[in-house]
Amino acid sequence: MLSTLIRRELLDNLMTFRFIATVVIMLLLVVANTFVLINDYDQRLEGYNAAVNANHERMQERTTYSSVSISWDVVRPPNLLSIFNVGLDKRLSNEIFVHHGFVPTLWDGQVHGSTNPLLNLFSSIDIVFIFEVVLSLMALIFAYDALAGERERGTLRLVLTHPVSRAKILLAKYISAMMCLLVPLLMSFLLVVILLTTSPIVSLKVDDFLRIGGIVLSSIAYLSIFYLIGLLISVITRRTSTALMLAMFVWGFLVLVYPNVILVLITSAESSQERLVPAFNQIEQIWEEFDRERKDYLANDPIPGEDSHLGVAGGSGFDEIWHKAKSTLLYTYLAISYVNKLDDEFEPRVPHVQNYYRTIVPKTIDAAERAWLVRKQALESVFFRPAIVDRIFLRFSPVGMYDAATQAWAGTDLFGLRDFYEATRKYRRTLIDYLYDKNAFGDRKWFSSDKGAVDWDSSPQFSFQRSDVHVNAKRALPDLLLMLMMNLILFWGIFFVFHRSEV
Amino acid sequence: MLETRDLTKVYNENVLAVNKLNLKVEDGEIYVVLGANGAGKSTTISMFLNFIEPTSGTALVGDIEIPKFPLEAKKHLAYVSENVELYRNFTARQNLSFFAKLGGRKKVSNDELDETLGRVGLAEEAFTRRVKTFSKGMRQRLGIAIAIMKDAKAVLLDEPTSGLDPKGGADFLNLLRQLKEEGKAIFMSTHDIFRAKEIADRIGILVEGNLERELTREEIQRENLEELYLHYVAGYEPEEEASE
Amino acid sequence: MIWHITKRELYDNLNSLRFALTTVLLFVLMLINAVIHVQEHPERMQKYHDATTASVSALRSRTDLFSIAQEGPGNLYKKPSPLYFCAEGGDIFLPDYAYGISRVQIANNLRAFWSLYYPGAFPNIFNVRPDTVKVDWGFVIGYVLSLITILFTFDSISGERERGTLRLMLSNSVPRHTVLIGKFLGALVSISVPFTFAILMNLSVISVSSDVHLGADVWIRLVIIFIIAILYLCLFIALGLLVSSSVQNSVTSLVILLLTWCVFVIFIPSTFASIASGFSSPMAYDEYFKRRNQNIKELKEEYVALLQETRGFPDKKIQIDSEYLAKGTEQEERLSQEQLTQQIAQIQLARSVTRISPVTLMQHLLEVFVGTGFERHQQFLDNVQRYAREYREFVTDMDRADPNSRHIIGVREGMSQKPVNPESIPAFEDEISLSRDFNAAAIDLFLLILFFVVLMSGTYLRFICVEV
Repeated sequence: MLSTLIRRELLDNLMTFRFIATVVIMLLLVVANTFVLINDYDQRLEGYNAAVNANHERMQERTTYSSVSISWDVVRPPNLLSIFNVGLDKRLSNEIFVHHGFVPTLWDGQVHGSTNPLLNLFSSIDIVFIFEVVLSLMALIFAYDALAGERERGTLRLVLTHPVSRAKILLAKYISAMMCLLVPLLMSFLLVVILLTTSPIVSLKVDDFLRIGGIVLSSIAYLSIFYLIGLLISVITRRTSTALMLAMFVWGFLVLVYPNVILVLITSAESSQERLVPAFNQIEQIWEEFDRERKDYLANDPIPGEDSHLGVAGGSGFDEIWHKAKSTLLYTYLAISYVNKLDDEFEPRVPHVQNYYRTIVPKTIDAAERAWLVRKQALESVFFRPAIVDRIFLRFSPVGMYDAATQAWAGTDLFGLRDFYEATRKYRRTLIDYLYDKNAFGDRKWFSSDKGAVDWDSSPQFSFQRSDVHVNAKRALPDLLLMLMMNLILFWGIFFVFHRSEV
Repeated sequence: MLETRDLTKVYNENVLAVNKLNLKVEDGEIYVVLGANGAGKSTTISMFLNFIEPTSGTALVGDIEIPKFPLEAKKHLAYVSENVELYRNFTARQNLSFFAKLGGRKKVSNDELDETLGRVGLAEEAFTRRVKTFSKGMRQRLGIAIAIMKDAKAVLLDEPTSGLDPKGGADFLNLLRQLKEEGKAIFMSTHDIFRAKEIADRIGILVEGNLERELTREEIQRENLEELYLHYVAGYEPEEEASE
Repeated sequence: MIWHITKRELYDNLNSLRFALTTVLLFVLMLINAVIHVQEHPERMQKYHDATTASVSALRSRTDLFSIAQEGPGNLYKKPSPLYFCAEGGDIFLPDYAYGISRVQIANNLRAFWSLYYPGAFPNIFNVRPDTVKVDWGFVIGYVLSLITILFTFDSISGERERGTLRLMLSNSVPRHTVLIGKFLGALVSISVPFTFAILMNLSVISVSSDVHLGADVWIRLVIIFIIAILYLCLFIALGLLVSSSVQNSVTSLVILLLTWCVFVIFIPSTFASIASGFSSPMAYDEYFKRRNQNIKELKEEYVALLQETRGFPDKKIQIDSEYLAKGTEQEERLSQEQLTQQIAQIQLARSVTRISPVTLMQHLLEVFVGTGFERHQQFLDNVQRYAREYREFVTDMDRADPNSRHIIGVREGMSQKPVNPESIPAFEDEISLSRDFNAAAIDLFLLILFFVVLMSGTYLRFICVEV
C-alpha cells in the first residue's frame, strides 16, 4: 500500500518542471563553484607553500639561537574541505610566530601576504551555501502544495475514501519527496567529489571521504527539516496560494533575514574591550616582576653598570623588544642577539653573558607561561564566548544548525581552527624542550655565531595533523541531533494537525 | 448495507448540519437523498467516509461502525464526487491502477483496467491520455470506473450527474443500475429530481439537516415529486411555483 | 482604464497575506537598521574625529621645514559617510586610511622622504564570530525586496489565466497593453507603499536621534537612493510579468523566477567575481617586499659608490644626498602605487563582470551615492594623492619663498631654516562631491535602465501575442 502511494508521488514529482529545473540549476551552480573553489584552494595552497619556503630560507639565515625567535614562524595549511564549508578557514590568521617569549594564540597571527586584501569585498560561496539556499527553497516548493494542493483539487478526498491511514499518506509523501530531493543533492556531491579526485592538486584521504559523508548526512537532515516545514505549512493552510506565500516568507526569514539580523542585534548589545583591562594589568605585573628580577640579576653581576647584553654585542647585532598590544593582551619580551664577530677584549665577558641567558631565558619562558594562564581566560571570555553565544542564537534557524554541523565535519569551525593554535603551542613546547636538550640558553651560540652558526637541521619541524574523524563527528553530533530532533518534532506536529483536520 | 443511527453533526458550536439522521440503505438498493445546497447531503456523505467526525450518533457500513474503524470501513465504501478530481498528470489507466491498488488490489492487469474503462464508456484512445485533457463527463466516467474497480459493498455518490450532458447522464444512470444488479448499496445525493425519480428505490428529502420525508418506490411513482420537493425544500406551495 | 485595473490589483494585493507579511518584514528590518545606525554612527564619527585630530596635531607639532618635508603628513583618514546605514559597501574590508611617512633608510644618516603607502585591511583575522551580511538598505532592497517583488508578480498573469479571469477581463474592450500597465502599476504601488513607509519610519528614527545629523545634501542623496530602489523594483516587476505571461502555470512561473533570483541575486555576484579575479594576479605582498628590498639595496650600493667619489666635496655630497633621497622616495612610492593599481585593476574587472547581476548594479549605485564602498575608496585615494602633491608643493613653495635657502630639498643644510607657521601646513580634508558621484554612477545607472527597458519590452511583446 505504502509503495503504491510512494510510486505515484514519485512519478508525479519526477515529471514536474520544478524537479528538472532544480536539478539542472543545482548542478550548474555546483560545478561552476567547485571549479572556482578548487582554483581558490590551489591559490591558497601556493601561498602556503611559498610562505613555508620563505620561512625556511629565512630560518637558514639565522645564525644564533636567540635570533630565530623572530622568524620561527609556522604557517597554517588551507583546509581542503573548506571547499564544502569555508567557515573560518580563509579568514583567520594563517601565519604565526612561535618562540619562547610568549604562548601563541589565535590573536597573535597574521595573514601571509599572497592575496589581494580588497578581494574580500566579494563574498565567497561554498558548496554548503548553495545547498543552504537552493535546496531549502526547492524543498519548500515541493512541499507547499503536497497536502494543500490535493485538498484543493479534491484528490485527497478520493484517496481517503480508500482504506489508507493518514499516517501512511504522510509517510509516502515524505519518502517520495525526499527521494526526489536527494537526487540533486547526491548528484551534486558526486560531481564535487569527482571534480576533486580528478584535480591534480587535491588528494583525498579515506578520512576526508568520511568527513564528506558526514556533510552529506547533515545536508539530508537539513533538507528534511525544510521539507517538513513546508509540509506543516501545507497541512495548516487550506489554500495552496496561502501555503506558498507562507512558505516563501518563512524561507526568506529563516535563510535570509534571521541569520543576519540576530547577530547584529546581539553584537550591538555589548562592548567587551574594557573587560580586558584588568587582565592586561595582571599580565603587565607578571612581566614587570620578570623585568625586576632581570635587572636585579644584572645589578648583582660582577661586571658592573652594563645593560642586558653586558656590552658584548657592542651596539649592533642586538635587539631588545617589548611587545605590547592591549586589544589582544599581547605582552612579551624578546632579546635577540646575532653577533657574528666578537673582539678579543670581550672574550672574558662571554661566560657572564652565557650565565645571564642561562638564568634569564628560563625566567622569560616562565613569565610567558604565567601570563598565558591569565591571557587565555580573558581572551576566551571576551572573544570566544560571544562567538559561541552567536552560534547558539543562530541555531534557532535550521541554517545555523546546518552550517555548524558541516563546519564541524569540515574542520573549519572554531574548534577545528583552535586545534591549529593548540598545535602551535605544543610545537613551542617541543622547541623549548629541544633548546633545553641542546643546552642552548647557556650556549655561546645563543647570542653569537663567531665560533660557528647554529645548525637547524635537527630542530623539530612543525606539522599540523587535523583532528581525527571521530573528533569531527563528536563536534558535529550536537547539531546533527538537534536537526534530527527538529525533524521529529515537525513530523509529529504535521501528523497531529493532519490527523485532526477535516477534508 | 449502509446505515446511520442518530447521526448528528454540529459545526462550530452552533451550526446544525445534520440532525439525528436515521436511515438505512439495503444491498441492491439505490437510495437518493434530495435537498437544497447546505441541507446536509455532503456532510452526511463526508461522515460516511470519515472525512469529518460525527458530533454524536454513528454511521455503519455492514456491521462496521465507521467512526470507530474508519480504515476497515473504507474497504467497503466507494465514492464518486460531484467533480471527480484525479491526478492530472497521470493517464486514465494510471489513475485507475493507482486507486485500485489503494483499494487493496495487489496486482491489476492492463486488460482488467481496459475492460473497466471500456465498461464505463471511455473511448479506447482516452485510456492513455492525461486526465488534464479530459472533459467533465469523461472524468465522471473514470470516477465510476474507480468505484467499480474497488468492488465495494456500498457506493456513495455526491451529486455525480450535475453538469453532465443528457447522454452522459443517461449512461451514468445505466452504470448505477448495473451496480445495483450486482447487489451494492448505493447512496446518492442530488438536486436532480427527474433522474432521482428515474432511478431511486427510495428517496429521502433532507431539509436543514432533518430527514423530512422518505418515499418508497411506490410513493415515488404515485406522488408528484416535484411538488413535494419544492414544498419541503423551498417552502413553496404549488400555486406559487407557477408564478416563479 | 489603467487606473481601474491598477485599483483592482491594489485592492487584491492589499488584502493578501503577502502584503501583510511584507509590511511587517520591511518595518522590522528598517527599524533594526535605524536603531543600529543610531547606536554605531556616533562611535564611528568619534573614532574618525579622534584619529584625524591626533594626525593633524602631530603634523602641526613640527616647525622646521626639513622635518615637515621628510616625515610627511602621517596617517590620512577616510571620512565615514553619514548615510552608512543605506549601504555598508564592504567598508570594513577597505582600509580606512593611507599613510605618508618616511620608511626607507638609504644610508646611516640618510632617510628617504615620506612616500604614500596603502595598507590592506584585514578586519577578520581576530574575528571568530560567524559571518553576517550587514542589514543595510542595500540588503533590504537588493535581497528582501526583490524576493518580495517576485512573490507579488509570479502569478499576476499566469494565475489569472489559470482562474480564467484573464479571459473575462480581455473579453471587454480593453487593449492588452493597458492591462499590462495596470498590472505593472498595481504591483509597483502595492510594494512601494510599505517600502516607502518603512523608509520614512527608518529615517525618522535616525533623524530624531540627536547624535546623527543629516544635512540638506544628504537628503538629496536619499531621494536619489529612493529613486534607484524604485527603478530596481521596476526591473523585478518587469521580470516577474515577463515570466508570468510566458508560462502556462503559476507554479512553473514561480520556480523559474525563484531560480533566476537565486542565480542572479545570490550566486552571480560572488561566483563571477571569483572567476574574474582569477584572471589577473596582482603583486603579492611577498613579492612587493622582495622588490622593495632589492630596490633599496641597489640604491644603497649606488649611493655608497658615488659617495666614495665625492669624498672631500661637501657641496657635491649634499647634491647627491638630495638626488638619492628623491630617487628613493620616488621608487618607494612608485612601487606601492604599482601594487595598488594592480589590486584595483583586479577588483575593477571583477566588478565589471558582476554587473550582469541587477543586485550588483543597484548596490554599486547605492554605494556611490551613499559614499561607501569601492568607488568611494578610489575617490579617497584620489584625494590622498592630490593632497600629497599639495603637501609637496607646500614644501617647495615655502622653501622657494626663503631667499636664504639653497633650495636643495631633502637635506637639512640645503633647505630653508625659517620656522614654519604650523597653521599654514595643509591638512588632509577628505571631500566627496555629488557631481563626481553622478559620473561614477553613469554606467551602472545606464545598465539598470537598459535591463529594465529590455525586460519591459520583452514582457510587452510576450503579453501582446499570448493566447488566453
